[in-house]
Amino acid sequence: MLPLSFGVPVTGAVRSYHLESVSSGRDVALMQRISGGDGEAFAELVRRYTRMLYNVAYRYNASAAEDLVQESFLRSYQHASTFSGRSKVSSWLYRICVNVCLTHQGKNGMQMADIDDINEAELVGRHDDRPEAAAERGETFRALEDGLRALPSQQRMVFILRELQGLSYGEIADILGINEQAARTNLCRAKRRLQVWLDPLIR
Amino acid sequence: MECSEALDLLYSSFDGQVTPTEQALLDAHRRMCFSCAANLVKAERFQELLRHVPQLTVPRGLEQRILNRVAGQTSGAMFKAAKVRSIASGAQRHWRGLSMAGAALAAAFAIFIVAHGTLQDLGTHRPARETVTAVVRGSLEDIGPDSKVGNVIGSSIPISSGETLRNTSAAPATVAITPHLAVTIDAASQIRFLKVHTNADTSVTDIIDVHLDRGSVRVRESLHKDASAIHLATDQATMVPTGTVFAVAKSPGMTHLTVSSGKVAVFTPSGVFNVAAGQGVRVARGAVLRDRSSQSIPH
Ligand SMILES: [Zn+2]
Repeated sequence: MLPLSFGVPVTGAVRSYHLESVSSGRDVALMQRISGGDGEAFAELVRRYTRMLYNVAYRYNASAAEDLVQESFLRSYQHASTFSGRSKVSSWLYRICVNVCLTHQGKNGMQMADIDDINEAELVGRHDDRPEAAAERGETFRALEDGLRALPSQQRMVFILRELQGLSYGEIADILGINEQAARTNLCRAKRRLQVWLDPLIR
Repeated sequence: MECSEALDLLYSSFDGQVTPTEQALLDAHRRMCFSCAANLVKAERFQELLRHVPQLTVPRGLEQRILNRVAGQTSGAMFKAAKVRSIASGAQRHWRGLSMAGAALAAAFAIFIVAHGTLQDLGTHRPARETVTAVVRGSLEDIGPDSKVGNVIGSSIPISSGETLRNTSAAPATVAITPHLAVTIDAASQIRFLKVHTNADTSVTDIIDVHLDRGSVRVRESLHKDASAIHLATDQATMVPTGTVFAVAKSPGMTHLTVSSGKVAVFTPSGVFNVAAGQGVRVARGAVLRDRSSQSIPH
């Protein structure tokens, strides 16, 4: 097999990414205000990025997702002064969240009966599917989540960041502290396993 | 080319990560290899499926819970007060409609402090806007907003926003804050007054935002107004009582509430729950759970 770096990439299938390499002045200013203890600035950060981190945390560990997101924001608040502006705020937050997820040791299982399912995550589709197609997909998506949980943590995280969050390999490598080739290898392995897992549902 | 290589190459092609030469090799393999053909079609459908995985919406109230948690675990005092208040003011709005039934019950309660005749002390202090005068029965450590530590034993003290009361004794201590409101701080427990406010014109104390830092407290209040002045908050929930005796205990990540009379509205950022006399609940991770083993507290 030829090395992947050989020649010119096929452009037709390239996804478009917004690859800002450094953060905007606005982001830097926001982080500076936060490191100075500005609660309003922090609330702004939370408003902007909760959904992003929640999506990562939920796919990584659905039952602990809220905890993981809260912990990530707590750390971002405590370490706001370490934000240098060399990366995007989103990358910096991803890195914190990924570390929180990867080091999470399932807390002692609190098994209690809910009187209200108030935190049931809502799935909102991007498209106006026919209802039956949407229902079918719902089953497939749940199966995908089950399959994800069975993956080794690093493969799972690479898959989430690449396929569900749409990050570039460069960003993923940076966030996870691995090289791009390792990110690619992890992604291929994750996808092989998931494809096998979902095979009965893929038509 | 091996079949497994073909699959990886196909995955790479979804990312635009293959060269024209690789693409040609892949296409050739697909045409020739019968065992691959079906699998590669599945891979394409799998990829198509991934494009449709929906982004999850954020659970209701998560942003507020994040702010509460961060406020509860960091030392930004101003930040704390602002955020907890924002729940509390929502609480007040919601509670108004529910309070009429509670008002009837309120008359049934008398705070023991009244019977002990210590209330006249309340009149001797001219309360400032951000201060309320309370009468303490028992022994407490009083940590002022300026971090000055003092001991209070059975006397009346001014309490300001930011003041902390800590019970390091073995016995509970009771703080009567208004003629209608007393908070009993159990041994090894600590509360913090995030905000107190007294209306300068009417001399009515209308805001008492208390955070339970550690241990447990019991609140006894007999109310005959629309909304309770006291909002008792933990990291998980804000509790707004009316005509009520209730107890709140804190354990890591969890708040236990036991109501022995009246009703308490529990405001979690994800919803409001009324807990009636004889009931107990636990609040953890934004969910309110019925506490099956709970007993009514004696009063
Ligand atoms: Zn083949």
